[in-house]
Amino acid sequence: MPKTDRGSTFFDNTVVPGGSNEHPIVELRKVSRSFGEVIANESVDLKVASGRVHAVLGQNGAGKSTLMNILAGVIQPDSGKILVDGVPVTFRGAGDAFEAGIGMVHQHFQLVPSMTVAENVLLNDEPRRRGLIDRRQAHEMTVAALAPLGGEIDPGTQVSALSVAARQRVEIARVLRRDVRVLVLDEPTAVLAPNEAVDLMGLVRQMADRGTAVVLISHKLDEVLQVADHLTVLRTGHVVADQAAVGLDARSLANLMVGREVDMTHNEEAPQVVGDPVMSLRSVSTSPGAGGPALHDLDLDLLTGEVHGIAGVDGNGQRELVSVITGSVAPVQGAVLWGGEEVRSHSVRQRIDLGIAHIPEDRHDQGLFLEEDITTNLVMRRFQSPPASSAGILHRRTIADRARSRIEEFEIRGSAEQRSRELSGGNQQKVVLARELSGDARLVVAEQPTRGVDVASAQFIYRQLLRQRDEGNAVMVVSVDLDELLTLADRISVIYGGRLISTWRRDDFDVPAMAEAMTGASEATDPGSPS
Amino acid sequence: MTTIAFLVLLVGTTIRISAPIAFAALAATHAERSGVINVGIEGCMLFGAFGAVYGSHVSGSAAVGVLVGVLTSAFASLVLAFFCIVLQSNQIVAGMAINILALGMTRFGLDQIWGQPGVSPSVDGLGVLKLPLLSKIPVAGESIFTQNIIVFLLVPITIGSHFLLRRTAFGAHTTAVGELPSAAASVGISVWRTRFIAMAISGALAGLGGAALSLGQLTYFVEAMTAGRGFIALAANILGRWTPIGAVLAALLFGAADALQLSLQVLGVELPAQALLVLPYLVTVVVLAASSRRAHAPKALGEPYDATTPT
Amino acid sequence: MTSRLTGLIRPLTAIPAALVSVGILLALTGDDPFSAMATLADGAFGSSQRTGETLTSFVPLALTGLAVAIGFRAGLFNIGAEGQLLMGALSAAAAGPFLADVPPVLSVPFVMVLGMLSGALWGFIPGYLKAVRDANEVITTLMLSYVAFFVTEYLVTGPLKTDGVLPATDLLPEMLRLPRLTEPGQVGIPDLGRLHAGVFVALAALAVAAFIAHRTTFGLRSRLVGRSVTASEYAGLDVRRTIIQTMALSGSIAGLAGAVQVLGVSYRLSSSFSPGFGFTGIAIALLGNLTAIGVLLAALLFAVLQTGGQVMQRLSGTPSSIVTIIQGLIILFVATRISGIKQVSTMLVRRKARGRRRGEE
Repeated sequence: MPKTDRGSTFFDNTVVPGGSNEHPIVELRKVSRSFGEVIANESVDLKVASGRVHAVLGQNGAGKSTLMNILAGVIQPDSGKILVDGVPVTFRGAGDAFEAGIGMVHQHFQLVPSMTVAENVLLNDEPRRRGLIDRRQAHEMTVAALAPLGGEIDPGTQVSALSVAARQRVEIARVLRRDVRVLVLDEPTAVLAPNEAVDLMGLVRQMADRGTAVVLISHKLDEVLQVADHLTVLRTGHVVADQAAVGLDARSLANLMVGREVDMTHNEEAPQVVGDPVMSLRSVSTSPGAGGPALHDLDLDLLTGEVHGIAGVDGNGQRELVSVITGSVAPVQGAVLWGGEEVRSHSVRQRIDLGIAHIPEDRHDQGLFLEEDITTNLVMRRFQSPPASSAGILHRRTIADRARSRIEEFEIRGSAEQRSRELSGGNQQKVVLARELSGDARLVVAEQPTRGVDVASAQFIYRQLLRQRDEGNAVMVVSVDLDELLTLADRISVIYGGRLISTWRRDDFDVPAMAEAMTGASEATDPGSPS
Repeated sequence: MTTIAFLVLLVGTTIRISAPIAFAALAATHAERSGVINVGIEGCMLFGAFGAVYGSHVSGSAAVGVLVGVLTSAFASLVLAFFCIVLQSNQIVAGMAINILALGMTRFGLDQIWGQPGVSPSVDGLGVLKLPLLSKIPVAGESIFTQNIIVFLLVPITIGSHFLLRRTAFGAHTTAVGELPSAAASVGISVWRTRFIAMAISGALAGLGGAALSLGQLTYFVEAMTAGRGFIALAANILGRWTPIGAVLAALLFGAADALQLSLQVLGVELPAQALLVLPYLVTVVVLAASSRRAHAPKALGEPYDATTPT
Repeated sequence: MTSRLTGLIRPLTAIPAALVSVGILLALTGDDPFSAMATLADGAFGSSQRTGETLTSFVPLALTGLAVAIGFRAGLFNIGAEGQLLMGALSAAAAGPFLADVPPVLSVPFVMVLGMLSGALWGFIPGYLKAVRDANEVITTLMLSYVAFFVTEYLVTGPLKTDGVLPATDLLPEMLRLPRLTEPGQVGIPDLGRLHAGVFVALAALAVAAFIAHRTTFGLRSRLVGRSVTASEYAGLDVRRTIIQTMALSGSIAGLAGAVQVLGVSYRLSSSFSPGFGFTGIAIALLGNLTAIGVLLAALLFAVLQTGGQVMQRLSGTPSSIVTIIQGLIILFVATRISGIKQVSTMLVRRKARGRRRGEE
C-alpha cells in the first residue's frame, strides 16, 4: 500500500473487541425493497454492533445504497423490520433515524454551497434567542462539532469556498454531532487523495474505538480489508456473505461480490506501433471556472494506437482538460493542434466532424437524452449531416437501419424504439459507446467509462476501447480509479491542480509515485515525458 | 412646477403605485426561495383584489375586505402549491392555469354577485394615513408621507420578511429547501411542509397586493385589473436577487415607470397615452435583458421534490 | 407505442374532470349544468351556420395553439402569442388598403407572409433575449404582448384610424378578403355562415408543422433542446440558434393567425380585436399534447366551447366566463404528471401497509 511521507501505514487487520452480533445497536431483519420492477433488496439481514467497523460491499446495482438509505431512514422498506436496541421501529424520514442515533454521510454531500459551515452543520438544530438564530452560540457549537475532526475550518466560511476534503469533514461533523451511535459512510474515499483517505480511515478507526458503530460502504477492496472488522457482501439484492474480516484477500472478496472468477482484463496485447500525435496541447491554460481549477500551461500528446490514461483525484482539472479537447471550452492561452493544425476555436460540432468521439462522465445529463428512444440517442451527434440527413430533411430509414445494426453489434439489450431511461446503466453506457465508436472516430475521449456499470458490461467496454486502439486510433481515458487505468492504459499521466505532473509508460508504471503525484506531493521531472 | 416639486411628486406617486407590485414581488421572493416558481401570483393577486372588494361589500368594512382578500389569495396559492408540490406538475403551466382560472372566476363572480359585467360597484375602501409630523413637511409631506394605510404596511412586512429569511431558523430551512432539498430532508426538515408554508405566505402577500389595488388605489374591482403586475413582480424579484429588500426596491423601479407616465400627464406633456402606459412593460423587458439571472436563483428552483425515492 | 398511448390519458381525463368541476360550480350557483351544456352544444352545432361559426373560431385557435406548441416542444413558454397575433393582424390591416390594385393571387399570400414576419419579429425578440441573456421568456413574451396591445391601440385610435367614430382601421379592399366557403341560399349546400378559406391555411399549417417536427433536422434539434440543454450542447447542437429560430417560428404562426383573422373575418383591425386567442392557445397546445393532430382536436374543442359559450350566455344567461374557467381547469389537470399521481398513491399505499404491519406487531 502506498506509504505517505509521514510514515504512517494502514492499520493492520486485527479484530477489535467491541460490539458483538448478539447485541446489535441496529438490526435490519428480512428487509426488502423494490423500485417498480427492480428488486433492490431481498430479505436482507444486517446486524450493526457498536465499536466496530462494518463494511458493506457489492458491485454497482447490488443494493448497497438502497440498504443504507433504509438504515438511515431516507426510504422505507416494503417489508421486513428495523430494530433499534431490540425494539422494532419505523423511520418516516431521515429525521426519525437521526433521533434513533443513525446518521449517514452520503457520497454527494448534503451541504448547501451558498450557506456557511455553521448554517449547514446546525441545520434544523439552530440555537435560538428571542426567535432569531443566536449567531454567537452557533459559532461556538460549530467549532465544538468540528474539533474531533481536526483541521481548522472557520464556521463562517461559505461551503462553496472549501476543498472537497474539508467539505467532507463538515459533512461528517454535521452528522456526528447529533449523538449518533451508528455512522454510515457511503464511499467516503471516492473523492479523496490517497493520503487524505489514510487520514479518514484513521479517523474511522478512532470513532469505532470510541464506541461508535461505523458502517462503511466501499468498493475499494484493499482499503476495506485494512480497516474493517466485519463484512457483509451483497450481490443482486441478497446477502452472500456476512462474516468477520479475517483471512480474506481482494481476489476472494471480488469473487464473492461477482459470484464467479473475475476475469480481470489485462492489456496483454503488445501495443501497436505507436504513431504520430493525432491531437496535441501546447502550453494550454484556461480561465478559472465555477467547477474546478484552471488548466495551467499544460502539454499533452495523444498518439495513434495508444491508450493514454489521465489519473487523478476528482476535481483536479480533468473536466477542463476534456472540455478543451472536445471543444466546449476554448483555452485562453496555448495551442490545440489536430494533425498539426490549430483547432482551439473549433466548436463541438466541428470537432465531432473531425472525428473526436466523447464518452462523457455523466451519461444521464450529457451523454443521453433519457426521454428519447435508442435510435435518436444513437444519431443525436450526427444527424445534421449526411448520411443521416441532407438539406435539412432526415433520412429516417437510413437512421433506423443503422441503429439496428449498432444495437446488434454492441449487444445492447433493448429495442430501437425503447426510451433510454428504461435501460440498465450498463446498456445505457453501451448506447453511448455504440454512438461514439462508430468507425470514423480518430480520437476517443472516455471519462469514467465504467462508473455505475456492472462487471460484465465493464469488460465489454474495456474490450471496445482496446479495439479502437488496435485499429490505430488514439484513446484517452480519464478515470479516478487508478486500478482501471493500470489495467487499460499504455501510458498514464497524473493531473493535479490543473497541471499534468508526470507521465509513465507501461513498462515503467510506478504506482507509489503515481499516488504521490495525485496528492501533489511531488512535482518531479518525469522519467517518461510526453511524447 | 419646479423640478424639485416634480421629483417629489414623482417619488410619492412611485411609492403609491408600486405598493401592489412590491407586495407581489415579496410573494415571489418567498415562494421562489423555497424552490417553487410561482407564476400564479398574477392570478392570486386578482383573486385577492376581488375577495377584498367582496369582503368590503358584504361587511361594510375595508379591513374585513382586506382579510377576505388575503384569505382568498392564500387559498388559491395553496391549491397551486398542491399541484406543484404534491402532484409535481410543471410549475409554470400550473401557475398559468391559476391565472386563467382567476380571470374566469372573477368575471363569473362579477356577474353572479353584482350582475354587471366588467366593474363592481364602489365599496368602502381603505383610508389614507397621514404620518404624524412627517406629513407636515411642505410638498413632500403631501405626496410621500401621506399614503394609503396599506402602503405603510409594506415597510414592516418587508423588514419582517428580511428577518424571517435571513435570521430565523425557518428562513434557514427555507433557503436549504430551495437550494438542496435533500440536504434539508437529511436532517429531518419536511421539504413539502416548508414549501407549503412558503406558498401560503406568498399567497397572503399577493392578496395584500391585490387589496392594495382594489381597496387602496381604487374602491372597486375591475376585470383583469392586475394588468400584468404579477409578472412584473416576478421580474422585480429576479432583479432583486431573491431578497426581500432587493425585490421591493426593484418593484419601486418598475413602479417609477408607471408613476412617470402619470406625472407626465399631470405636467401636460403631449404624448399619446399609450406611449406612457407601455413604459412599465418595456422597462421590464429591458431590465430582464440587462441582468443575468442564472447566478443568483435558488438552485433547486422549479424542481419538484420527490419524497419517495432517494437521491 | 405504449408511451404514446399513456400520453393521451392525461388530456383525455382532463376534459371530463374539467367539465365535472364546472358542472359542480354551476349547480352551486343555481344554474342547471345540464341545460347549460345542452345550450352550449346546440350553440356550437345546432345549425349549419352555427357549425360554420364554430369552424371559423377554429382557425385562429388552431394556429395559436400550434404556435404555442412549437415553443413548448423546445422548452420555451411562449405566453405572448396574443401579442404576436396582434402584430400579424396589424400588418395585415395596415398594408391591406394599399394593395387594392394588386391581383389577389399575389396580394393575399403577400399579406399573410407580412403577418408571419411581424409575428416572427415579436417572437424573435424574447427568443434572442432568452438565448443570449437568459431572460425569462414567460415574462418577456407577456410584456411584449402588452406592448403590442398598446401599439395597436394607439395606431387604431390615431394614425391608422378610419374616418368616422369607430376605433378601427380602414376596411380591406374586397379583392383582398378571403372568400367564404358557401353563400346563403345556395341550393343543396348547407350555409356555413362566415367560414372562410382561411380554414385551409390552418390545416396546411398543421400539416407543414407536423412535417417539420418529424422529418427535418430543425424539428429534431428543437425537440432535443427542449429535452435537455446540457445533452444538446454535448451533442454539438447550436442551442442559441435553435431557441431563436423556434421562438421566431412560433411567433410567425401566431402572426399568421392574426393576419388570417383580418383577411377572413374582420377585414380590419379594431380595439378588442381578439377575445384572447393567444391565451387560449396555451390550453390548446397542452391539451393537444404538443402534436399536430392533438392541436387540431383541442382547437376544435375550444372552438365549440367558445362559440357555444357565447350562444349559451345569450340564451340561457349562464355567463361565458364559464368557458375561461373550463380552460383554466383543463390546463391545471393536464399539467399534472402521471408520475405525480403515482407517487401520491404509492405513498398512500405504503402508509396503509405500514399501518397494517404496526397493527400486527
